[in-house]
Amino acid sequence: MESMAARRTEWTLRKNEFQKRLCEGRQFVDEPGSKTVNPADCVSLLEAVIRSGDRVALEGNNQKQADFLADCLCNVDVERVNNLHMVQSVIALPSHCELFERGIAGLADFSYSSPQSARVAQMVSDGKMKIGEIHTYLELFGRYFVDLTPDVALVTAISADRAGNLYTGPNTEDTPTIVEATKFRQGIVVAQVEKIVDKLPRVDIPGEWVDFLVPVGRPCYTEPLFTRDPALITDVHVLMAMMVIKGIYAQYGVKSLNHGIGFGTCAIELLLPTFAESLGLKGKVCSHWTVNPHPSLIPAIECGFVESIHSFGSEVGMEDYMANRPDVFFVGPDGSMRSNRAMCQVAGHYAVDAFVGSTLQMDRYGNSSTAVAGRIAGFGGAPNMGCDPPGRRHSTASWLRAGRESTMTRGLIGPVPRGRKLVIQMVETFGAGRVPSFVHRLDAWTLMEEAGFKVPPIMMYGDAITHLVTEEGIAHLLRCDSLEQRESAIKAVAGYTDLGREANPKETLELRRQGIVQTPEDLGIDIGDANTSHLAARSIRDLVEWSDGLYRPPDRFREW
Amino acid sequence: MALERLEFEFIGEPENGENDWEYLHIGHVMSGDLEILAERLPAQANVTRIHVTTSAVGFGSVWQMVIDEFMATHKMYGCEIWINDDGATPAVVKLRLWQLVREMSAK
Repeated sequence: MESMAARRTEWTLRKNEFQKRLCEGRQFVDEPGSKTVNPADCVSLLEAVIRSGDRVALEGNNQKQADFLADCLCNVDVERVNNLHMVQSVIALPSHCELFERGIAGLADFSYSSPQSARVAQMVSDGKMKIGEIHTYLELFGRYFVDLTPDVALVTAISADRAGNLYTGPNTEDTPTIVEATKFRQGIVVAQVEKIVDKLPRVDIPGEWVDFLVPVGRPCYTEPLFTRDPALITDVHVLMAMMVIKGIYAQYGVKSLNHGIGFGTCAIELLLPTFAESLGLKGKVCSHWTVNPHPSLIPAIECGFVESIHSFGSEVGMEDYMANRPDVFFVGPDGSMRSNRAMCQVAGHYAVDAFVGSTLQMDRYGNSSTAVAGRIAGFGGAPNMGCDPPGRRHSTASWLRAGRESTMTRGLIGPVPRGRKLVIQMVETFGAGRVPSFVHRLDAWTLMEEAGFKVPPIMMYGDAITHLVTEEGIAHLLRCDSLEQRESAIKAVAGYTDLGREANPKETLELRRQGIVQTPEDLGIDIGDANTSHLAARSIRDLVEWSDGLYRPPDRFREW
Repeated sequence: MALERLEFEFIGEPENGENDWEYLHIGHVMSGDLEILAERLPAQANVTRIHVTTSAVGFGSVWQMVIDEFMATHKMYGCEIWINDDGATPAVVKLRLWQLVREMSAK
């Protein structure tokens, strides 16, 4: 008989451990049986419930930040609490870096670190921060439920009741995912809230999943990340946006989509009520969105272009507008919007016809990267939006047409019909300071060498891209039948960059004849007519007017 | 701030003589943008001179290509054109030149 592994006999080690921590933490509550801890005792609370080497999810979202808890964690006694393993989606605040400078944390697994990218790179090269892996949001959330389950979660909410129920409101973002992963593996959950109230507008997180509440008396820090001032949109953005609308959205019948936060996509949003309307596209394109509540979508919403919007997070100033448009946004019974990053990432990955983004650099194969030497910025959610999910099985008109045109797929699965998500990159051939966007070698390679990564940090791989749009035209890369042809199509729209100058004019003409490359002229768009007068709004103030005063932009965007 | 001056000259037959314009102005001098001033020369003139003043030094060969493409496409002979540039990308230069042509034909 084969030898058998010994039977395990202990089944509640984690539960016992956390019961012990809970008891230690409870000495800091304001009265017996309460979950409320005075902010002045918060550092002591953290020292009681966190052990050296713990995995800690310090809620650092794209937008809202558990800033008070982050500051407190920076002030724990490093002799007692050190070598923490931070598992958080965004390294956003100076305090997130301070943890590593002080030796309280040593290892980080995260998704995005753009706001602290230079400091993260410096700390890595100084040996103060060790990076486990850099993920997309969905990967990190996935690993929360596999091998990176937090021992302790430090989260933030707008308000709580005494039972610990949390109201996270429009900026719910990552909170449900973090708390679920932590609490259902017997971890400790601490929430900072602005205040404790008798009755919450709604319950976003059930009270029995929350162990301690810290009422800090002020809202947590929230970054308005998705507000783009229409006044900064240029005529070139308008030209490229017109090409996307006429040459892609109208052709494929793109109904559901995700937009990045560049000015190109902002221009598309502001051309829907004007240019797209003039093409008769209302009701035919851009009806269902997985996107943050971009203020630049207000005119399209007001004109009836948009049927629904589900969001990763909220946007500062959009709360009242969304509350008053419950047919469009995901609004709770209490009347306020609720976002959810994990759900919206799933939706944007699997359930949309198209993603449109932009990038800093693209190589001849269409690989694109926002990596810059000396900065570690991570990925966020873009790679999951900007790819064709192999697990998708439902079809839409756009998906089917894109699949029919995807010549190269047939080389691997034969004549079986299969659809495809559109992944569109809008790239001006030269960026700020006349830096070329098309390059022979991505800076990602240099960053890989500097930071000791195993692979260059590519945001979107070339095989994911179906369309490249520059001011020179559209390259329908999905229609190419070889890597060589894709390279020629990319060069054909790469303008006066070194890569663009390699284009062979005869070959470009042939690509245009085959409909693989389309110039504005081929699309019937007069370059000379591309200007910002076509935009439905040309300032933040215009957006406020479109919203009947319901959109309340942060002061920094007010110029009146 | 150092400025670079570039001069281009083209000779050929003016195409559409019926347009009724004398002076045109497109764009603004601001960071990343440029202005173009154009003057129409007497009807018999077949020379176009383009005078570029730019804050971005060392891009002469790119200017040459953008302006060559412009003249090859639109054959704007018989004009005097001044371009005052504050670091516009080739995309912006091209767009402004095409906007100029649209203005010309609108007059």
